Amino acid sequence: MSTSPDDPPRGLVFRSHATSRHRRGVAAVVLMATLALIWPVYPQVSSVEPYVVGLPLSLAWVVGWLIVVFIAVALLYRREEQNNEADTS
Amino acid sequence: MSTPTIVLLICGLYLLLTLGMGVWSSRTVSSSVTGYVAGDRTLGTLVLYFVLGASVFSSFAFLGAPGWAYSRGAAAFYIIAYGVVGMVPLYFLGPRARRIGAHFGFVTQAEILSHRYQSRGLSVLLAVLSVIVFIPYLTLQMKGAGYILSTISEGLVPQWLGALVAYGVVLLYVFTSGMVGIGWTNTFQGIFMMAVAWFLGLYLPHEMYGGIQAMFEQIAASDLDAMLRAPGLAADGASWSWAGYSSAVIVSAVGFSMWPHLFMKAFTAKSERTLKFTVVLYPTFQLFLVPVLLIGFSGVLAFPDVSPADTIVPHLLTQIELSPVLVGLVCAGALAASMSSGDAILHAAASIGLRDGVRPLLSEGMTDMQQRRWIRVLVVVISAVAYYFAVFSEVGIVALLLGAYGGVAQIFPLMFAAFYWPRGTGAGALSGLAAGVAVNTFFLVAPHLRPFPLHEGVYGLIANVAVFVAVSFLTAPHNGKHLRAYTHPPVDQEEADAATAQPLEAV
Repeated sequence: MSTSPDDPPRGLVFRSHATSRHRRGVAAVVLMATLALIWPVYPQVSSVEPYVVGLPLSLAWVVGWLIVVFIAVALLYRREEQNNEADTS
Repeated sequence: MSTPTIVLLICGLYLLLTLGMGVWSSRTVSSSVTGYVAGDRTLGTLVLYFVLGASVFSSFAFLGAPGWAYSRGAAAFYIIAYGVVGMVPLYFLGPRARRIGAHFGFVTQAEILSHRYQSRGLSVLLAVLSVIVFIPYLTLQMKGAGYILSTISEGLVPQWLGALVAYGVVLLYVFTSGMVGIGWTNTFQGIFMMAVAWFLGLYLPHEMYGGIQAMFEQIAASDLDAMLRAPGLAADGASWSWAGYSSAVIVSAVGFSMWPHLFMKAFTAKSERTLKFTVVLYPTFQLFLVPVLLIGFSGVLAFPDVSPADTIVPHLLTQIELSPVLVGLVCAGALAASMSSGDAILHAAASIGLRDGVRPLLSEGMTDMQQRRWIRVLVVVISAVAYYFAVFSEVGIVALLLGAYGGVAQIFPLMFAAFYWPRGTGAGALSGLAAGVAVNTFFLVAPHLRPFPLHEGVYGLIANVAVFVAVSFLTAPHNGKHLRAYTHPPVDQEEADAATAQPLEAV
């Protein structure tokens, strides 16, 4: 098969973007959250005690990561919207 | 007035309000296909937030999830765990899909994929997959609604009548208003069911055990303490394996944002900003599962041996001295959970069935009018089929639905590669998806043949990606100009949209 310059690249293409550094940061947090919620990390915190705001540790851990991911994505959103406004003004 | 009468009155009032809201909202939208299927791409943050939330929180949230907590303990945490990361892909994929959708006029997930991969076969395969998954899903919602009404009314309303009335209302507003009807009713229903869940989830442990921590301490001190340690119990009461738990979390997280009725909501957003903001806010909806699980845990010590476990919430409601008005409100909240998912599924099944399943097979095109008419016909047909299964058939649909997540997850590699892997080809996508779905289904029906005790979706995904990549490299790439729209989506659209869009609400 001959390759012409019109052929698409063989690998993945992520558009380089003013915010890509932040996007990579969020991707890292999401990856960390995923790993934290499965074997082998989650078994380390699967006990009932200590209680965190009334919830067993095993449940509080999951809710905690929900909040961490929420904050990470929210910060990314704020950053990207600020950049958008800076672009258009 | 007797308790069942008051409860039924409140539920009736709720149904009337929902119906009025759903039908009235058709006045706010154009009579085009885009109007019917994607609400003219004008949905704002508030409405979109509840549409996304309510599409996911079905009657499972008021029946299944507490049932899991009640019978399987910490295993139920998995429902929260996959939602932690499951919606995040939509933050990255959604805005691109929305922009390309607005540019080319797409309103469904299959449309964008079949255009990107230049494959009609892909569109039909996705339509078939979607409808196969949606009918049992809808059937379960109807069963849930019928079940709640019949239990709470102490048999005054039989199950068939309960399902018929609740879904008669859904059918009417989905038929007349399409997407905007779903938007407005889901907002109302979402607020309602969240309030009910938080109230019950905090009230029951407090009333029965003196607090949330006290409740868990008492469970931990009893001989049921094993259920609180992750990963909880399997369906048979033994400990669930870590391999099973972890792989279920991963497959569900991958599949979550790919549900066709969920993903197509990206096309309904007023702007990219709205869509992103909705995804940002999504975890606040996910948090609502915490009180839902607390409701289930509150039954563990007080009412052992409730069977099937899914009936724990109606059981609690009939056993505990609550004012009939409160019982009525809770009952209406559970109906809201069922109906707010059922409507979106029904609407998506009909829209996808026609746009992606039927239309690509016709040689001559269809006018906007014809499409709208046929989608409405399908809305009625699909309701009737699901109703038949809900009331007259004894087919095991729960198992079918549980297997569906593995199937839906198979769409993820295609969606991801559509934007980020230009080398992916139509032949690769079609064969990858087919291989993934086949392997997933195989291990679903023959679980004893799995090499490791992992969720069947994991095997499907491995087969899917391997075949997709291999076949793509063996076939000629798509034209670079065609691909550019996907790797570098047209950017001018948002401003154009902002100028022409009619705001649906003042947010």
